[in-house]
Amino acid sequence: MQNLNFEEIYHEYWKRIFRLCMGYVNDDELAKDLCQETFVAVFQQLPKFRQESAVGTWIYRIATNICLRQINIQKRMPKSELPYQIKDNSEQDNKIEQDKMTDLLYQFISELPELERIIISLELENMKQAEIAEVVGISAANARVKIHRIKEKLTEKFKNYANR
Amino acid sequence: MQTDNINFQDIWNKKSAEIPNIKEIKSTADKYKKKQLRSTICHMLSLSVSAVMIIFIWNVIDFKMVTTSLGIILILVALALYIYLFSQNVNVIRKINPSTSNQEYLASLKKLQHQQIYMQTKGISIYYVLLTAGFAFYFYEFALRMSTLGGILAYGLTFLWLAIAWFFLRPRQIKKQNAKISKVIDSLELIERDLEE
Repeated sequence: MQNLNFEEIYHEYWKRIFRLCMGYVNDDELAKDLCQETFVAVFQQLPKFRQESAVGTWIYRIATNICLRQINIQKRMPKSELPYQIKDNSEQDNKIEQDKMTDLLYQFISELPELERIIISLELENMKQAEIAEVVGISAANARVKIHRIKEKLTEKFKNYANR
Repeated sequence: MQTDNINFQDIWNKKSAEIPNIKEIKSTADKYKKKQLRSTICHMLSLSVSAVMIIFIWNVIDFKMVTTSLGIILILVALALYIYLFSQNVNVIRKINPSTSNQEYLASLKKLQHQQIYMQTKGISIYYVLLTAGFAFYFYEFALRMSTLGGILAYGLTFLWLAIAWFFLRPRQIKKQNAKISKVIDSLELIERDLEE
């Protein structure tokens, strides 16, 4: 059994969890808060972690559940009022293309239904489909179908954006 | 903008941020622990205060009839219950184990919400029953000393107020509590539906 060190886990996973939370809320500050909540939970639960699943799976489970928990803690915001970070188009024009694509990607993901946000974020973090299925609680086949569908949706969103 | 064959992974990984100091995590964990402890202490304290007052009333104040003391005790129990009910939803969500799959987590969230609806609905009703019974007992000794008209008036007005509370205030309170929780349950069910697709 490998010895788990919180500090190592923290440094190894923080950026990944941050991206996951960003995909979920598309708001830097909120994502950082969710990230913090996640690692607080990881810190508290680490002594109880029996390593029945991989550390990664375990941490992603905690992070995604904490994202889902948002529904209870804060009033659910209507989709149109989500604090998108991309609002000012003039500012956007100054950005280089790649950054703009990144911002758009996170915005488009955060517009998806909750579970789709989670599934695509895990996929983009290079997680195996079997593990994604384990985190979410669906079958691997179902995960594969969903990932495919979500990618199509995202491509569609990019196309619509380019053609507007 | 080129939109064919976008490499999502590439652009996804471009997002970055400074890793905050790890000390923040540990201090936040500590803060939660203290908060939990404080709320437990508050519960214990409010319950002990009620208990002490009950014992005090039972022993020290010398009413002629036991019904009067009983009335006061029931009123105090009702108040303690009220405090308990309205402090109980604080932090309860943190007690759900977050290291299960999303599906299981959503199910436990939903279960918790249903439990809260049950607690609030039953709890508020029990509160009013205790309060009514408490007032009924409490007034008995005084009503005996009053004239018949006075007695009827005292009881009548008290129960009129309690009837208003039971038939108008209670349903509204329950409705308000439940509306909040139901909204959450609806959102949870919406997410769960996506799981099944």
